[in-house]
Amino acid sequence: MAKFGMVTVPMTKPSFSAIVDRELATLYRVARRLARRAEDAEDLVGTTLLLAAKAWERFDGAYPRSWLIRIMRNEYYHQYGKQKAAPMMVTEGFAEPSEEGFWQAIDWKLVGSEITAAIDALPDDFRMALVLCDVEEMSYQEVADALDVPIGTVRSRLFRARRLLRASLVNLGMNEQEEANHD
Amino acid sequence: MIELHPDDGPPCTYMEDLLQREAEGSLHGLSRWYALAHAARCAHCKTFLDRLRETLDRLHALRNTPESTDALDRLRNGAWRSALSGENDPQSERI
Repeated sequence: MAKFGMVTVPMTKPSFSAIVDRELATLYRVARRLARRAEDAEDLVGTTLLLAAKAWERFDGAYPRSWLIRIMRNEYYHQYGKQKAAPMMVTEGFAEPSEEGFWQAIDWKLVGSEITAAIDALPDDFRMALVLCDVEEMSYQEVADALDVPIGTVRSRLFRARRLLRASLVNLGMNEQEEANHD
Repeated sequence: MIELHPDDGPPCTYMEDLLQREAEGSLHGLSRWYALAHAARCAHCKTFLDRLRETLDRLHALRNTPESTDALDRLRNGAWRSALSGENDPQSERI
């Protein structure tokens, strides 16, 4: 039962199939950004759904998207032998551009695939925060549940991810400009 | 293409957090007023805010990128269906 003010509303848990119908596209998009390769993403989502189906009776029904993403993230770390989420200070390959020309170097004509590639190049923790918050537009609370970290950590990773993405896009735009000048 | 401001540059360090929250729409009340008032008279912060809003618009648009319907169909009818009525096994302990 959930209480909203003085009213008590009975909570009914939807069926697992209904959850899959509702969340599958989101899950697959997130998996594409997490695993990067389409076939790996499909395997990852398939395994996630299998694990989730087996655990469905134990799930309380709150934040199903976060729950599924948390399972997927754990499975990703399990499959790929990744270390779980110590805060990272990875800057290699993401050199900040000079302060002069802070944003303007970004080529706003970058197509979606280039932006996607820039996202894929972000370190795991930052990439997940960015994808869940800024692409999937999940709330900080949902993302915190999905990543199993405090909200403050979500926010700091997100802000850092945006800075890294911006730096990456700036560098990409600069490289393309240089190539165009050489042609 | 965005019109560039002649005074483009980094935002004020102490404002970046507020500007990020304003761009994502999570800033309210006095904090929002303060961020917008600052951006209105600080060219660097205004530009930062404009560019960040535009980046977020582009990221939101990625949601509409079509994914493989074949993959989604396969997943929709995947092995999880037969697991729904099955017993838990040790593999599910990973959750």
